[in-house]
Parts: sequence; C-alpha cells; structure tokens
Amino acid sequence: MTCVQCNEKSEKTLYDKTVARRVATASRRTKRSLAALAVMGLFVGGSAASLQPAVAASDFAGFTTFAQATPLRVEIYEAAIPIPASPQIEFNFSYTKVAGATGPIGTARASAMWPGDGVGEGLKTFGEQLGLPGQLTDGGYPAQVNAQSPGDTATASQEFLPGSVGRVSTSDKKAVAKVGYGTTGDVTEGGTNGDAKPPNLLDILQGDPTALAGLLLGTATGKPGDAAPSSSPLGALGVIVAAGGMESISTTTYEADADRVVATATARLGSVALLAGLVKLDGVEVVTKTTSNVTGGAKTTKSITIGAMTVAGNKFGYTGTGFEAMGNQTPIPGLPDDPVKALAALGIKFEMGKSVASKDGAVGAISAEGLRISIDTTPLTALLPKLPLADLVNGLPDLPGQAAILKGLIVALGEAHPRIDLVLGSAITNAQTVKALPFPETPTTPTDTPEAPVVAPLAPTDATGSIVDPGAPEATPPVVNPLPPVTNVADIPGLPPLGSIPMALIVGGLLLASALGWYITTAGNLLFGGAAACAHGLKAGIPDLRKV
Amino acid sequence: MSVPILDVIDIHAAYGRIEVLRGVNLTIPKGSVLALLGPNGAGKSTLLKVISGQMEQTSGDIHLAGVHVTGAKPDDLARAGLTTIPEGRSVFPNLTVEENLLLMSYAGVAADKVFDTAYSYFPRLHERRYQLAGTMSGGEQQMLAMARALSSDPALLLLDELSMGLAPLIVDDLYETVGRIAQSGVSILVVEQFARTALRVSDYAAVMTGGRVVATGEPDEIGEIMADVILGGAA
Repeated sequence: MTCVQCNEKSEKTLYDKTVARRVATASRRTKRSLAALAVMGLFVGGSAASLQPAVAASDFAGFTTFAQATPLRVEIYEAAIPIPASPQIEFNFSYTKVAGATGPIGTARASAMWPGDGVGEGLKTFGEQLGLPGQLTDGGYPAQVNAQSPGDTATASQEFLPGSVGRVSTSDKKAVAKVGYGTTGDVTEGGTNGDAKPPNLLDILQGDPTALAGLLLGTATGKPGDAAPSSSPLGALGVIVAAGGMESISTTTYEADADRVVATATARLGSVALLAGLVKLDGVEVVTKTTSNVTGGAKTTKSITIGAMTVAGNKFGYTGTGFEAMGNQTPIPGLPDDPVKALAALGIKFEMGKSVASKDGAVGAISAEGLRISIDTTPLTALLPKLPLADLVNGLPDLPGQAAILKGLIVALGEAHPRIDLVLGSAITNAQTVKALPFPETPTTPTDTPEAPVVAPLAPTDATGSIVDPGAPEATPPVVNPLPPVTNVADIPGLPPLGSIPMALIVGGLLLASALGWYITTAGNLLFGGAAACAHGLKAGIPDLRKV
Repeated sequence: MSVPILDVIDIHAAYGRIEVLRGVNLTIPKGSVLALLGPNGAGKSTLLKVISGQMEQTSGDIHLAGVHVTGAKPDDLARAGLTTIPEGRSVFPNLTVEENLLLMSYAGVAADKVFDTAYSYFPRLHERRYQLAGTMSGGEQQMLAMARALSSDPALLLLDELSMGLAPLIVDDLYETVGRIAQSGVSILVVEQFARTALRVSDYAAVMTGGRVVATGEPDEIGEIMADVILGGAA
C-alpha cells in the first residue's frame, strides 16, 4: 500500500497511531500528576490548618460571677418593724439576679416585685409565725421564676401581670434573667447597642409597604428557617410602639472555651420606643459590667443615664456628669440651693446615685445607682396631729391565738417614723477568676532508650565466608545516637543520699525534735494538769463519739 | 443524769467587727433530737459552724461527751462522729448519685457499705443512681446529702435548714427519716425555720434570736410561745 493510497482512504499508519497514543498517555499522566499534587496540597494545607488551635483555651480554672438589677427599689428603715434585716422592708420592682460558678453552674431569678431575700426566701416562715393559712404561703413567694443549670428547670417564663413578663434561662455557657413590662414582651440589654444603627422600618417590612396592614393586624409571617414570631402581648404592633415601664436584665457568660467571664446588669426605668427604636425615650438607665480573666485582671465599667432621648442613634440627655449631645458632654450647674433646702426641711433629700467599684487582680465588683431619693418621715409625722391609736386598739377585743400580738404591733407602728429611700436604677455586678493550681513536676529518670539500636559493624566477608581485610576506612562511620548520660542521684537537688552523713544528721534531728516535743507536752501536762485544760475542769481532746 | 453529748457554754463569735453569737448556751442530751429555731440572721447557722469547727469562736467553751474540744479541726471532729449536713445541700451537681456516694468511701468506709446505707434509707436514690445530682429535684438532692452523711456512721448529726426550698410534703418525708435516724440512737441538732415540722420529731427545742438562745423547753411549750418570742422579742 502506497502513501497516496493511505491518504486517499484516510487511514493512519501504525506509526501515527503509536505517536497519538503516546501523546494521549502523556496528557493523562500530566492530568493525574496535577490532580495528585492538588490533593496533596489540600492535605498539607489541611494538616497545617489542623495544627492551629481550634479555639482559645480559657486561662482560668475557676470563676464566680454575679449580676443583679432593679429599676426601682423602695427601702424602709424602721426599727419598730420586727424583721431582723436592714432595711427592715424592701421592695425591688422588676428584679433580676443571675449567678455563675465553676462547674459551670448557673442560676437565674426574675421577679416582678422581690421583697428582699429575708421575706422572699422565708415567706413560709413568716406565714407560720403570723398564723396565716398554709395555702397562702406554703408554695413560697409566688411572683418569681427561677432556673438553674444543671437542673431540671433550665429555662422558664412567667407573666406576673398582663404584659409584665419574667424570663430566665441558664446553660453551661450563660445565665440570663429578664423582667419587663412592655408591649414587645421582651427587653434588651443596655450598654451594648450604643453604636448600633437604628433599624429601618422598610427593612422590617421587607421592602413591601403593603405588609404594614398585616403588621398592624398582628399577622406575623416568615421565610423557611426563620425563628418563630415573638409572643408579644400586642403582637407585631410592638414594632410600632414599644412601651416599657420598669425593666431589668442580668446576664452572665462563662463559656469554658472563652478567655474571660462577664457579668452585666441593666436597670431601666421608663422607656418608650417608637417606630422600631428610631425614636427612644429613656428615663433612668444604669448599666454595670464586670469582666475578669487571670491574665488581664478584672475590669469594671458603668453607665448611668438619666432622662435621655435617642433619635436615629444620637443621644441627647442629662447624665451623671453633665449634658450629653452628639457624644459630647458639657458640665451643668447644680440645682439651686433654695428648693433643695426647702425639701430638706421636709425631710426629702435627692442624691445622685453612688457608684462603688473595686478591683484586686482578677477580682472585680461594681455597684451603681441612678438616683436616690431619701424621705425621712420624722419632720412630716411631727406636723401631723397625733391619733389616739393606742386608745382605739385597746378598745378592740383580744385577737385569738398568735394573732394577739398584732395589737401590740399596731400600737408600736403608730409611733414609727421610718426613713424611706427610693433608689431609681440599681445595678450590681462582680466577677472573679482564679488560675489553676500548679501541679509539681515529677522529675523523670533519664532511662529512655534511643530509637536507633546500637549495632556493632560487621566485618566484610567474601563469597566463601572468610573475613576479608577491608583495608583503610574511607571515612569515619557516623556515630549512632549514644545513650544519654546517667545522672548520679546524689547530684539531683533535694535530700542527700541514704547512708550519707547529711542524711543521718537530718534523720537524727527529726528524731530529736520529736522526742523534745513529746517531752515538753508530757511535762506541761504533768506541771499544769493536762486533765483539766478547760475552765470547767474537763479534760481536753477529741472523744470518739461513737463509743460514748 | 448522763453526760450530754453536746454542751455549748457562753459562745461568742463574730464576722469581723459584727458579733453574731452573743453568749449562746445549749445542751443536747445523748440520743435526743433538739430543734433550734429562729428567724433569718439569728445566728443559727453560725452556731453550727462553730460547733463543727468550721469557724472559731471568740470566747466560750464546747464540750462533746464531757470532753473540752474547743479549737478542734473539722476533719478531726468528723472522724470522731460529728457530721454536718450544710445548708444548700452541697452535692456535686456534675457527678452522678453513685459517684457522690462513692466519694464517702475515701473516708475509710467501704463503697458497698456506703451504698447499702444510702439505698436502705432512701430507695429513691437507687432508682436515680446513674443520674447527675444536679438534675435531680431539691428533695432528692437533700436525700443524697443526708445519705452521704449517714454513711459516715454519725453519732451527732448537725442538720442545717433541711426544708430550704422544698415542698411541704417532701419536708414531711425527710423529717420522718430524721425520726428514724434518731430512733437508731443518733443525737441530732436540727436548725430550722420550718418550725412546726421540726418540732414534731424533736425531743427538745430552743429559740434563737439576735445571737442568743432566748427560750428552751419541750416542743409543745416552744410551739406555743414561738411567735411571742420572735416577734415580741424584737419589737
């Protein structure tokens, strides 16, 4: 077959086929090599990435955190009230408290009105002592909701009054307690959203103004995967008007992988938010925050705001240090003296809230109050005509049983002139971390064997097995990893070796000290009467109570 | 009259400059149950701390079975048979019931004996033996705390606020167990605010207020004058 014929038939020669096959094979090899390199690159990259720590380990081994907030506290100081506490009576409205501890253990409490720990925890006892029916007090103080982690109640909520909701939740990372009266059915934490942009109403409507009708009617819709709509008392109308009277939020975070613990308390009195927060009016807001870690120590911050209005994220208002507008503060003159003196004559005193902070290493605590109004009723009661209360009460018939004491109490309270303090906005936080105790390192005995065995070089042999002179070596053979040097035990710092003179001196000294101690104790007992070490003539010691 | 198992004489104690015990006198005859009642802040728990050696008194004497033990360490007293169940239960929440009990075996009591004692007094703990203690109810945690104390074979048991945070029915059940423990010969000092239930199982009662014991007597007598003593005394 000629080449012309081949061309005519469009057939390839064996040579052409071989070349084409080699080219295709080379191409496949190149692709496989590139793929292999890519896979190896991914593997190496992945390995390198896996060497990086996934999360930062915490620098503390133990911690405690605490946060407590109440927007309004009424304290009544009156010695005639038979309650062993100071103040004798207190009411904390919209009260929240959280605590965290090593474990992690988190607890949270929210109450519409907390009467102080004395009464709140011991209501049952008070009921018993006053002879109240058990049904009233056996269940404990009712207007509270609690959660604990680990525990059987990790989250809980309760609507104390219509619109006043308390929520508590705890986990192994944080504890949160919230109380608030508001049309949104929820409250937000203070001190963290200062730089946040106010939401756009159109964004809330998702760009569809016709959705306003559904919004006003309380219809809530969502895309797949969206969270369930909030259970607001007014439905979605809360977006338009969110009115909050007294709110408080206490939170604490203590993630095991985080490098710090945080406690935040927010107390807020009187707030109204319009158009999804575009315009906000706040009365009193007190925020305290304490963070702690071992490396950086404790840090405390506070924010006290009184009478603030926020429009589109810009705050105008009077703070504890002056008038604030557009982030700038200007000092203001104090209150005129005359009205203050006039109020003082009536026993009414205004004080800007005190703030007390303390830091000691990784231990930090801060408490802050917005405004304290102190009312001493002594001048007021002096102005009132005395009622013949004792005569009226003595005219009553004797009350049965334990209630008889109430007559005496009524007479005593008639003579009372309590001091009443109103604290507007109170927040307390503290946090503490401690580092792990260092475990003593056990000295290791250098007995590790080297990885490469020590092998004596064999003499070269010929085919018959006889030893052949290798002649002069061309180079020094490499030194196989030698055994580490054995350290003499006597060289290790610590006790001297047994059998040595220093050890004998130490043992002898200990024995001598023991003998001397025994002698002094015995002699003392003999001289001063060890059997009568007590003023009542009884012998001292620790008896085995099980054999008495 | 036999020597009392506990005799507290004119004990004073203070937290810093605040004196909370102002001359407490108290006696518990051997094998009896004494209920120590009083309002918050009366000094009841502080007295228990002083008796168990966890806090040092500023003056006064403590006698156990006729022996002067002032200044003794809490662990020495515990080995001698004085056992405290603290307020708030203090179980390990992240350990199971069985692990909580197992910790008592490190004090020298065999684990099997610890489990036998605990489960015979509280069969419910056997049902929950693999459950984390922190996830149990308050009553069950209190049972665990009591079981842990009983496994150390106490001769004098100090119980602090057994009823705190518990439902009345649970409190009644726990005090029935306290009665059974007392019948076995263990002397018990019960500090309690839940006065009526505690008085039901006690042989004697005392009322503390303002850092002093202001009344002692039989449970019936104390029950009648309880309100007068606490409220009237303060007013």
